[in-house]
Amino acid sequence: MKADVTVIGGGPGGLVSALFAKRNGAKKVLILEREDELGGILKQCIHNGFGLELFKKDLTGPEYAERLIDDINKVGVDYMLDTMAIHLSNDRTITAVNSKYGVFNIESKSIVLAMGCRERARGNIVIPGTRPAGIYTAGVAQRFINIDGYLPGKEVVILGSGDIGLIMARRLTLEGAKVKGVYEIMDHPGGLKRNIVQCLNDFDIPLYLSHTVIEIKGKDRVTGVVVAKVDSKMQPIEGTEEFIKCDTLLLSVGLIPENELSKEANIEISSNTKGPVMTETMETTVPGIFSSGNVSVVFDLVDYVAETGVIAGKNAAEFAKEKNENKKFINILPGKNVGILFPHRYSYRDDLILFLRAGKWIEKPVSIKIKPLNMKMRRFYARPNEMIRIKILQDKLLSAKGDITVSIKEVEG
Amino acid sequence: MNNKFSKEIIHRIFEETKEKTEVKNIGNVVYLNGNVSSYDQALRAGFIAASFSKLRGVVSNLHYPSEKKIIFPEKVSDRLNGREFDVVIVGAGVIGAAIARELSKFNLSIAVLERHSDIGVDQTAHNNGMIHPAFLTKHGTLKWEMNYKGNAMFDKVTAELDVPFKRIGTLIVAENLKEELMLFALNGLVKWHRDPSPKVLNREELDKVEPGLAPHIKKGLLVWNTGIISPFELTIAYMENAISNGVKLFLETSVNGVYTENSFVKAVETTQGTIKTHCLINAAGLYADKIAEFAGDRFFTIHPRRGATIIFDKTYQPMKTVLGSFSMRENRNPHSKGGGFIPTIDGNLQLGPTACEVEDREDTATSFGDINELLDKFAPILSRLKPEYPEASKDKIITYFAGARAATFKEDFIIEPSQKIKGLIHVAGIQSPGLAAAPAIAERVYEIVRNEVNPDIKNEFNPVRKRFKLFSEMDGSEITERTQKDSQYGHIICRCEHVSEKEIVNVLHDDIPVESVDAIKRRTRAGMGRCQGGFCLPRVMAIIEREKGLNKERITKNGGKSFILDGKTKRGEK
Repeated sequence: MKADVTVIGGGPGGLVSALFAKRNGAKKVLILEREDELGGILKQCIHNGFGLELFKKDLTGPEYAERLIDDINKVGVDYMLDTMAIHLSNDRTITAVNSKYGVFNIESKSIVLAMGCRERARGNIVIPGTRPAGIYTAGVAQRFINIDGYLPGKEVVILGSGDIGLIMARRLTLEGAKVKGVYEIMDHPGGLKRNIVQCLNDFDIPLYLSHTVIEIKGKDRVTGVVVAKVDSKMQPIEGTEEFIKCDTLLLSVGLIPENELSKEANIEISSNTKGPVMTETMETTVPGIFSSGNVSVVFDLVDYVAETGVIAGKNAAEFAKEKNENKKFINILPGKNVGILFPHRYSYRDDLILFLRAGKWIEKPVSIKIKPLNMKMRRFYARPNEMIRIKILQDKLLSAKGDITVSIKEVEG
Repeated sequence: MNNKFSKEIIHRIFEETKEKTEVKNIGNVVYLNGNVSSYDQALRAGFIAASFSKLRGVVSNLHYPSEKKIIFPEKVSDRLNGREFDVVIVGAGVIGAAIARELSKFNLSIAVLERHSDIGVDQTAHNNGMIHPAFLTKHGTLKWEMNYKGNAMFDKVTAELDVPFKRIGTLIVAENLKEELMLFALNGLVKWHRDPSPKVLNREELDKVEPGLAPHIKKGLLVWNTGIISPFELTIAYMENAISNGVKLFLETSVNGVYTENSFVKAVETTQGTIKTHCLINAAGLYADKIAEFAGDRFFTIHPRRGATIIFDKTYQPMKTVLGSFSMRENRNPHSKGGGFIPTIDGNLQLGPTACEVEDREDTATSFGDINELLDKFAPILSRLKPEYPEASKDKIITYFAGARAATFKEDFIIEPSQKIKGLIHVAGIQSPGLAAAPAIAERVYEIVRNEVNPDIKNEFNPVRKRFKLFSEMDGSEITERTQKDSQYGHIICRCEHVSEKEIVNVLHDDIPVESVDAIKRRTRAGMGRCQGGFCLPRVMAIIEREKGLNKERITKNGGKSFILDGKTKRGEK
């Protein structure tokens, strides 16, 4: 099988990439989707708040997905459902499997990775105790409720204040479950402010910062968890242990980009963003392989995911037309107080959209500095749970030499 | 004489623990009675009594303040009432399953009773899958004999049962000149324990066996007969082969009593009814002393010893052999041969197990202590031996678990016909290296049954079991070919481990009737990968619902009342 642009994954990142690859002139654009429907995680996100930036509308996840699916159908993107990409090589050959063809290869002129993330599970964060039923990641619980129509439990403790966990606190409450509290090991929440307000405060669900679950109890099913306060090194403080009776523990403790295929294709993985090392054109370190959405870096908003999809799709289409293995680039490096910084390289081909997160919680005015461009931006605060987006036009960058460094500095009132 | 011996034990226990106990010695079995201050003290007393040589067993009846009573499950049905079997085996761990298969060579009707909803889920499931060399066990013990004999049988057994098995070897490296000299002594010790042809390797040879060793390592001893295997798969293979040779397996069937008449076994009372039999094989693992007690032949006490193991992500696999050093051996618990880094047959690295005495036989909870203990003890040594690799650390862990070993105070295996009850055969106290010993134990039980029951040999015994080929073991063209005939072969359900729908459907229609999510996980690895079931759990449940006609609300994680869901949502209830 051959294609101009093949997109691995049919979630928001993949759909937008495919759409813009097609709009930018790629002839055969093919999406490989492992599930039986397109839409990815949006399918189970039945709450609103999607699309405020891209569509200027407050949509639910399925509505947002449906718009994109309608669009790709209009422009004539091909897709294969129930199809899993199992291998990827750096010559842009994908090996996939489905129940119609068995195992088959796709030779593609360019590729967009859009595999998204997986959730960190119990094993990754090491919570001791028994191994009963009733421990789920927030995303699995969301699927049980919103897709399958089942409640995972009635008395719930949520560990981690990531956005999915917060959304699920509200969702479970609306379905009649009692959410006993959200416990966050950090001294600040992991999810967006609006979700803290709308999902916890509005429903009187307590949020315990600097707390974690130190033991799981129960034989067949969870019967409770032991929580404790943690110190500044995130170690449990003796004497603060408290048993909380519950039948369910939900984990909302972070997302990990799905890098298995990327690694197989020898794509360099960034220790900062945990996804591929990328340029402003969303190209990875392997020419012709692009990346979009959460497989690149974990975004807060689906609109940011879509934005990377627009860029990845356009550049993948261009690469499919005329291979442009431009190797010239400068690095983009996180400076003081900058945690996550994306993308990693600038290759002088497009505008640069920077996405960054503060490295620590700074609750006073800050200035974001971009060297050597002499750019400064002021903000009222810098919070790691809110991604900052900065667009820099190509004109400003063409003369830049040497690496770009982004830093955040506290400034006086 | 007898009295004097008991007094000596009482005295020694008092001297070391300050606890006053009563000791009775009946037929070289010591019974400890009385009240002590804690479970730990009761344990100490047991070990002190067991340290006296020539004893057949130590039974602890010591009471202590926080003591918890063992609650046996209540009867649930009478469906087995009136059934009769020539042989009833209690327990379907790897030992019970191996015995079942071995005895199916006889013309006997055989039943295996298992309390759980699946086989091999207690000690077997928490085993680290290592086929131990014999030099780590005490020379002259039954454990040692079963270990070296059993180890040698694995090539044949795994070929017949089609179970993946690899002899990867234990490699003990010397880190200095003194240790290099110790290697030669160790070599002699290994030979004395009947591990075949150990070899002292020089650096060049070491590099072929275990690349990437630190430059200061010049010599090592390779004990090549160490193997790795999946304990679940071996148990399942044994049981499937036994079933194909006529053995009947009854799951969720717990023994609550043994009927004897004039010291002959007559029947067993179970939670599913009373089964008549003249031959009862006690392979009940953690509860073997309770079965012995039911039959009136209690001469040992099981004291559970929990072991925790860590599993690392497949991307972290710095070892080809079971790599050990003298400093690693020093770090081991005296009652555990294990403890260290052991590759698994599935390609993960595991670290463990710990060894911690626990009161509750069902206590398989892990603690921070377990995980930190393992990492703190072993990770720095591994980094020293293999400095090229990143250190084993928490962020590389994908899962961890604990299991309880069924230890007796004598710490040796018990494989013998009862001295009191005709027709009762004990296979008890089987802890590590029970997996390595399993084929030899089964053979030993075969001999005992031949002597005791004198049955006919079956002509049509079929020793061969074929395993279901996994998606991950097939090349693309084979998958494509199979998919053309049956589309389920091409439908991936578990993305991490590449498990197809066909494999899961196959498990649900196997001779061993299972329907829990964990039973599928143990057999196919669906849910065992890095996402730990995040992707496949709802999909596996949908397949169980479809294939077994089981409502999703009734689907369990691991049998019993481990329900995954708690009813429909409000909208669903309408």
